[in-house]
Amino acid sequence: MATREAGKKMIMLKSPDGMEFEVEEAVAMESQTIRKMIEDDCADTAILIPNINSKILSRVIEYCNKHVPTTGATGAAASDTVAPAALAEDLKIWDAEFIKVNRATRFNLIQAASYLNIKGLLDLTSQTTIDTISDNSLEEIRSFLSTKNDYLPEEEQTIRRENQWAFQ
Amino acid sequence: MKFNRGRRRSRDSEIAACYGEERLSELPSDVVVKVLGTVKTQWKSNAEDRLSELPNDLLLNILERVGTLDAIRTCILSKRLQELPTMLSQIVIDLSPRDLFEMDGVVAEVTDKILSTRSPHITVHKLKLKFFLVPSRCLSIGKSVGLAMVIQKLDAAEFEIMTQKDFSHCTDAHRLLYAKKFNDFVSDCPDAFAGLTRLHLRNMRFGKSDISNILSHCKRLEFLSFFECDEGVRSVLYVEHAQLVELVIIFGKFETVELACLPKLQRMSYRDWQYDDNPLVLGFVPQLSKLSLACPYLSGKTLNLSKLLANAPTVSDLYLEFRSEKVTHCNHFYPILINCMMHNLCTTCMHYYF
Repeated sequence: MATREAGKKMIMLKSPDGMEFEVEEAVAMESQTIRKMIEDDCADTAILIPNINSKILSRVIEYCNKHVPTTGATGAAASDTVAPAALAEDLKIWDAEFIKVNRATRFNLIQAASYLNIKGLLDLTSQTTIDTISDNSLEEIRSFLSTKNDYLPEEEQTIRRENQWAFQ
Repeated sequence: MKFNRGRRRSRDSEIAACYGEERLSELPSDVVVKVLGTVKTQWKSNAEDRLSELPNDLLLNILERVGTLDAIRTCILSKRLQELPTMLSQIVIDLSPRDLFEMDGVVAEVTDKILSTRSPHITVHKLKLKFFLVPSRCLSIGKSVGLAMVIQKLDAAEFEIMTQKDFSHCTDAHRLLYAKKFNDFVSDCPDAFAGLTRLHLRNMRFGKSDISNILSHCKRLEFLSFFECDEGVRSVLYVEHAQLVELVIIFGKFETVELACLPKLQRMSYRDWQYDDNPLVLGFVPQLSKLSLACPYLSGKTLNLSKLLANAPTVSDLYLEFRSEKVTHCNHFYPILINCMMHNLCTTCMHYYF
């Protein structure tokens, strides 16, 4: 339901596990997917967000709330008084705290950011993932990436032989 | 992230130390498989968060944030991921000089493998390779890239060519040799150079008109940088090219660089020239908007700025940096600036030290 509250247009987002989130239209439109739905007039009733559970959806909304231009979660027109550079720095610090989540949550956030088309969130989650990988040895990455070893021992030997540089 | 062998090695040792061994990679592979099995069991409590279950486009988005060697290294770990390097739309192998010394052969090997196995339908938006001027490896890279340019779609290709001797270790004899090797590389791999869009060269003393010859081969070139390159002491370089957008020259013993005909040139940076009588001549450069001239370390020379800038009516961003340098017609500085302002000079950054 599109309702009005304090002069702001609100949008209802529903997760598949039945939770409903009422958010400002501007916040919801941080997602290009939702923006398109709204612009195409497909958002009269609540928008069901498939495959994103309420826990992840609430984190995504938290991110969008913080990143929506000019008026953020604080409700104050912060950009009028704070210099853009300071604002960007503040967002960076906030992002770094926001992404301190376990891997399962981070991978779910990647998929959510991709489906909802929120570039900033996709960049943040993807970059954090690759930074984590790069801090690990080859063997650590292997265990990190795939719990099933899908190589046969002979195949593994071939891979090692053909890519010796990667194992040095 | 940097491809850092030192760090990996120490990580290997950390893991191996847990298992009472010096280096995990030195163990026989059947033992390694068992050890890895143990590590995996430990991680299994978080088993549901497997990265490799993400769809390809999201995995590629993640992998393209690091250099291609790191991406490949990550992907060889499972069959599921192994197909991904052939789908990368960016191929960037840009190692630190130290890593490059140890792994230069790998650059040629990986370039060949990744370009020859990929689908011709997936466009390479960016190819950047940094490698040493070693003839056999250059030939391998040049042939692989040349073939890819013929049968695949390559939006941008960049070579950064390093030399074994650099800075003060590089003598004039080295520079002559490197220039010869590079000329051979260009003539051996015409397809690769015909499609190249960015080129960085260093430490090369070319023969007369070699550079013109190279530019005529590199038809698509948009960016060219020379570090310690010239065509001999007090040589004069005439630059003509239909596509070049940016030219950077640092050091080198050109007496004069004449930008004779560069209809698309927008940015020119010239640092640390040796001879001040007439270092730069602007010819037909109708789109030149950003000009940077810096020669902070020479003294007792004179430079006629007003003459130099007279033919740069389109420059809107001018950077000048001189120290202990006599700018002739100093009292002409004001008219020059007025002149430039009349030509929409919006950013003037002047560093003038006495």
